[in-house]
Amino acid sequence: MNPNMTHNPSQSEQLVYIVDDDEALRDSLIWLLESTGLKSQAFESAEAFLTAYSPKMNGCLVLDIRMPGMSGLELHEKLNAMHSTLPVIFITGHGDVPMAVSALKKGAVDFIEKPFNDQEMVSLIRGALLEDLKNHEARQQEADAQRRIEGLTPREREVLELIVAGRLNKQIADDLGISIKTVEVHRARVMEKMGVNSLAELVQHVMISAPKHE
Amino acid sequence: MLAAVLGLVWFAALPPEVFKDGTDPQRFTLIIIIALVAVAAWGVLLAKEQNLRVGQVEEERDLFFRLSLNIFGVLSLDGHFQRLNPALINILGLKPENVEGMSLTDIVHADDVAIAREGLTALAGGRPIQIELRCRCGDGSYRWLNWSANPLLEESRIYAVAHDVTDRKAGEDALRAEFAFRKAMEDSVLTGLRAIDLKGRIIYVNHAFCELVGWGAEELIGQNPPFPYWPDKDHDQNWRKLQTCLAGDAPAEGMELRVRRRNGKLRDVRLHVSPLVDAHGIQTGWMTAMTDITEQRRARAELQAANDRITTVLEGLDAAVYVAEAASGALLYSNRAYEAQTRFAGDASHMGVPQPELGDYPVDPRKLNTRDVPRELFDGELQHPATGQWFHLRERALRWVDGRVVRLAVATDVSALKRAEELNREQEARLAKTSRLIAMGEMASTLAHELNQPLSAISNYSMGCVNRLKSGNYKHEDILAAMEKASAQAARAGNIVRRVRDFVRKSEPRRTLVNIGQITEDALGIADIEARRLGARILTTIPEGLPMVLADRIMIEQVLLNLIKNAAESMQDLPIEQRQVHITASLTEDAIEVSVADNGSGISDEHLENLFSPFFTTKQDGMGMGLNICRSIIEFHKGRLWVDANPAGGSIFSFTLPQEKSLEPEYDA
Repeated sequence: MNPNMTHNPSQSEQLVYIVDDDEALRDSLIWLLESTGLKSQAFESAEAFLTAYSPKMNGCLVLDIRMPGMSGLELHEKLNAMHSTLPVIFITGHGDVPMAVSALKKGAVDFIEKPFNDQEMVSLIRGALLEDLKNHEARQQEADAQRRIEGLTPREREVLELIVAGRLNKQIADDLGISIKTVEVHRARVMEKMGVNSLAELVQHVMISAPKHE
Repeated sequence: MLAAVLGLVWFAALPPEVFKDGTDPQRFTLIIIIALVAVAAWGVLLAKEQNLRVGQVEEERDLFFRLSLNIFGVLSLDGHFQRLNPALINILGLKPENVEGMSLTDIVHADDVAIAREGLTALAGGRPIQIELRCRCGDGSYRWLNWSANPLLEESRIYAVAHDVTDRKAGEDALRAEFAFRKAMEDSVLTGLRAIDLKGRIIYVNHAFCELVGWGAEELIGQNPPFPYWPDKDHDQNWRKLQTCLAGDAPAEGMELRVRRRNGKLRDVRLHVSPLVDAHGIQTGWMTAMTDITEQRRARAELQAANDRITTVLEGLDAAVYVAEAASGALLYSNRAYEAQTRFAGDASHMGVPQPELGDYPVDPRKLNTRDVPRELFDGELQHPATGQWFHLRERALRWVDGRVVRLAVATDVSALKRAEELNREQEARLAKTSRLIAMGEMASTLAHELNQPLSAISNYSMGCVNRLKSGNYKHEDILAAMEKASAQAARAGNIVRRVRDFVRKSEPRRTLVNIGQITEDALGIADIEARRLGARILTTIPEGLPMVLADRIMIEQVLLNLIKNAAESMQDLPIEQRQVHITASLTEDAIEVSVADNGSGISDEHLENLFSPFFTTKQDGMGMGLNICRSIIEFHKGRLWVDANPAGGSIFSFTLPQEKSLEPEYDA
């Protein structure tokens, strides 16, 4: 692990992105969140948010489910397609519960029904921000493992794959047509380059990077 | 004289001795003289006798010539008449002296001249002839004469006899014509004729018979059974039939059998047998007449098939089809569906399907005659008075097969269709109600959503202020601005509420000036269907000229419908003819009162209490909302709805609608 190599945002760098077509609601929500020390940025439509969206955004998204033009649900789906990890809280109106449930199934953090209790809203937002932080950590580990794997020679990568697949040194030697001695040398190199001390740790690292490795 | 001669001869022949006395020379001379005298005398005598005899013969001959019934004629060799006997007058009406000098060819028919000439040539050649010629009579007509003529060349004469054969000729001609006619008849008749002798041998066949069986007459005549035209399979059967014929037991209507033609094709034929009796009245055999009935059979089979098809179609129809005599109404034909319907309807006093009243026809069908038909009589829907079924009935007047004017009716049971229509209507009404509810739900949802916005904003602004005020970290003007914004949101919420109220007001009843009679009529249009289903009749007593009322016509219609339906349903235990709903309208001091009376089971006291409560019902599938809503509607119209017991049994539901003039318009429309 090399903490210096990744950028881990502090809570102060996180923003609450508010997307709601109702100006009073946007304005009042910013006012409310500010009073609890949360910084926020509001967008009047899903389209406006998409234009401004960057994968580097930290924080969470508070999204009105019903909006003219692109709806909150559609925006959520688009963000999912872009592998956004930004946690989403839906604001739902009367009778929107089924829509909210389907949004939850697609990975939204939670939903809150209007008119909402301010404390409930703030605690939901705090939870979402925390999750965002965790997401970042996971992403960094993943990136780290990936980078380490990319640092291996092709032969070392072959050996790594066979180790992870559970083959013994002797079997790996037979598979690759090299001597056990050579396998042992490669294995030590892999452990070193991957920055791990045990087989378990090695497998964990490979698993983290697995989605991109496939 | 003969004695004298003989005496002389005796004397002369006496022996000379007798005359020896000397007188011999003298005596001889004497004798000679005497003998000569005697001879001469005898000769004279003989000649005289001869003459006498010749005259007599000639006389006889002349007589014969004159009196003969046949014509005698003497002609020159070139054929000119020299003498003719008077028979000419009798036979030809011609006088002999007029004809004498004419040639034979002058009196024969132009067509026979050639024959006459030929005859004359033969005669001139010395040959006798016998010819028959038509000869002209005095009156210009012709008679057939049979001429026999002989030439006498040494006399250059022809002797001819003619007798009248006209009658024989006419007989012959008639016979010939008769024969030719019979022959032609035999040959042209299409019936095959065959005669067999008493043992079954064929002795005669006609042309048609040969045509029919495909064998020639020369091949058939003389044949003994089995005949060549018998199909192999039918031999036994045909033997039996032949035996029946020979025994004289052939059926009068004939027998049917099959004939195999020479080309192998089979034909169906019918045989009629009659005895063959000769001129002496003795039976010599049997005559059979054979007709080809193959075509007839085929035609009959086709006709039967066509008839079967029509019958099948008519019998297979679900619609009742019947034909009734227009004048009497007597049923002439009915199909299976009609019979079934009649059995179903049961009541003998009614026909199976409802009949139009006389007034329903454009003309009185009883008075129609054949010149007036075909024409439409009726096309409409009728209800069976006993079973309640609905029929679509179509009647046409037309000429029946026997020339009578009849009504042809096709009645289709449309009860199911009617029910379906009714159901459809009910469903539509339910749908309308549901859609109204959906609309209300949507409106409520929209209202909630709309109100949520300002309420959330107010809450956010307020809590933002509260948090800041609590923390002490705030700017006065920020708080003020937030509070002002919250206040503006409160105003926004107020506007939304106002808008909703306006919307609700718009969907309120539309009251217009309406005629209660018209409303009742409209309601009956729908209620009738339900009432009929329940077997109830609806009577109305609504006086003309009732003042108009200010009301929502749909709502009042609903109230009426509801009351009528309740009334009809309350009488289900009564016999069908007693189920009666009576609607009356009347004018009271300041209102119009409408009553719906039934003679049903009435309402018990305990039920009376709860009658108008919501969800109270005595019906199995009732909602218990009907009367409650009815009362609300009437009360909305500032009227009253109540129930009385019907003195005649049952209940009377009444409501009032205030007269227009006493009612202040609630809203300005």
